[in-house]
Amino acid sequence: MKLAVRLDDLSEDYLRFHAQLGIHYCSFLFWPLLMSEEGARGIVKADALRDIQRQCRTFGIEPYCFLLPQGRDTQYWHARFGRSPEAEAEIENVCETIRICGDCGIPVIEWTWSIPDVFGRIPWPVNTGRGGARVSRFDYYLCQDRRPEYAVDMDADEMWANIIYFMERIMPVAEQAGVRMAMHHHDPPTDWLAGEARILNSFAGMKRMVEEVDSPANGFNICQGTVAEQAGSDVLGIIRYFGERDRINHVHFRNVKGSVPVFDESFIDDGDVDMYEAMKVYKEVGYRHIFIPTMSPASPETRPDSPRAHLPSATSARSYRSLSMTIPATLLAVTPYSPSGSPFRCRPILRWRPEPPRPGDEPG
Amino acid sequence: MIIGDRISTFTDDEFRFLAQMGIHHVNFAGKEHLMSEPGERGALKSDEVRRLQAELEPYDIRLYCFLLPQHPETQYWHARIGDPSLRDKAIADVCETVRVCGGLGIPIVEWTWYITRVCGRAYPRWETGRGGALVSFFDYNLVRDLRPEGTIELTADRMWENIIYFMERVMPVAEQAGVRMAVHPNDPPSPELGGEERVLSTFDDMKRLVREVNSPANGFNICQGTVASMADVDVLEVIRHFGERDRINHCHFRNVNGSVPRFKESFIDDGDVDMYEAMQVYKQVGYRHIMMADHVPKMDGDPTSLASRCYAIGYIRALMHAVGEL
Repeated sequence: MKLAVRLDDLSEDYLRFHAQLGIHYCSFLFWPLLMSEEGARGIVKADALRDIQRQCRTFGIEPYCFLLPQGRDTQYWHARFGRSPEAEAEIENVCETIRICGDCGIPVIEWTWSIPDVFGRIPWPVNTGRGGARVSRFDYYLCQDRRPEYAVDMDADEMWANIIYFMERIMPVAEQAGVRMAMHHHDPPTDWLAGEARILNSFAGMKRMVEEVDSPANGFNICQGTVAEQAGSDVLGIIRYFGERDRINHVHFRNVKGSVPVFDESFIDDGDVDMYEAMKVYKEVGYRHIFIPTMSPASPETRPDSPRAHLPSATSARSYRSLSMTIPATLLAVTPYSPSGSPFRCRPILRWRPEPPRPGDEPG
Repeated sequence: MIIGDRISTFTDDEFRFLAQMGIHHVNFAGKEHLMSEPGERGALKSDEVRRLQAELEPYDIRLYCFLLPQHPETQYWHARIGDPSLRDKAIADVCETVRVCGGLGIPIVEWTWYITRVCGRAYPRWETGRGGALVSFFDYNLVRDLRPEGTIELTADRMWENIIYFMERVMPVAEQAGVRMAVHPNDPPSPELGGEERVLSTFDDMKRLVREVNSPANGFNICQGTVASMADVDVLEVIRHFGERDRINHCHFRNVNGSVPRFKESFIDDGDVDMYEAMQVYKQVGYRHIMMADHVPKMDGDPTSLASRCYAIGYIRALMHAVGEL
């Protein structure tokens, strides 16, 4: 198991902050730097990827997991709607991206499959977190009749047909390239969202996905918060099931309170799941890739009173590494010093240097 | 076992931060406005503390441990240097403070005993820790010959005489008030510093302290970083020894690299002590008071050390959870 964060900035100070936290792996996007075409389209550019690797490695951080572009009109947007010439070209781009990542030594690629994406979070965080902290909330009743203008109606059969075709095309390439694919199942995991049947919102859907295209490269990003949001889910059982089958290729280690139709994201140690028990399961099943705390794309800001600014409670009992695995959420405590909020959206200001010592002053 | 932290700025922001971190028990120090006489002297003012308690109530934060003023010329300075004309007044102020704490439901009073300044760290004050983070360090060879202005040189015998005189008068009051005293071992635990022979810088010293005045109220703040920086000490044995005897009343759960004569403070997970093993010992001996982070490294981009503090608090909570204390 490896401790990691998602890096969205390559500034020296930002990388140094993470090195100080003891972080040696990261997941990353950097689409504007990496993608060959505007709008996060095309293929990953090998030279740009190598450049990012070089910058991170200077600080002892290894880029480990690349997230494929996931928004509207990005790299494989048309593939989600079924076969078409555009879709074919896009799938070729994904395959080439996988090959390039493999060549460069990126072992895991995360991907998503949705049209409305993470649509439906309450646009402003609510103060219902511990100590009045602001947290992201989803309430199905507030969004069931709303939909983004680009949304389409798509039933489960069509969703399955499209995703299976996509997987059949890319998984052999991933196998060949020595890359493991990590699918981020649907968040929020409602049955329907903005006209889309959410086929990866339950244990059954997740099981079907790996059965339909049975490849060692075909696994999950277990977004543990999202698993916990699934109605009636057995989080530890799901980790164990996919872990024992070596189908966990990435983990978002976070916690929530409640589940569909209404849930709040929470501090990692303040949600419904006992994170220590969860960590023990990953260890038991021999999970060997990275753990990252994650930021909900719907959270409009991160402040010192955001749960993201805070810390872990769960640890794997014996090893320091697995222990610290839960800790990197700390990094977000740095955001109050960033003028426009989250380090996931902008470059934080990290130019501070400690003042020179003064006679007689004392630590802490 | 309770997870705690200190309050130092006494602002709403700080209270909210602590509440959001899930901290409900805090340590606070004898700042000027809390003391009855200028210069952090006199007794703790009960009305001020009551006001503070009321302010903290909505945040569900309890004042759990009060740190007596610790700097030169403050509350019981004259007791430390053994000034016969002034020490009885100083000790009376401490006794009154202990009674005030007892009356207000503050169960622990932390204290220190040194003449040179608390940390005795000398220039250069910082060294680099993991990833280039700045950490506090001590090197006896750099300070051995320093005698700052106002230095008072005292032998170990005199220091012991003074501390025993102090404890003999304070401990019965603490027992009566239902308060436990927690003395912070000398940091840095150098046997000599600035002309002062330090009486709380070894395991033997610590054992002698509780032997000299054998009261259930007489225990330690196990500053684990300080214990780890003592020369040739088995940290887990120290915790076990005092824990089994119910003499641990407070704990600074932090880590260091090295020991006297030269050591540096470290991230909690980057020092010489296996903190998980240490946590297991506290659990085994049934420790029931505060675990807090105390000093933390200064990280890039973290001018108020908020992130660094979060890191330590999260780590401590994780370990408490792992041993079944949460």
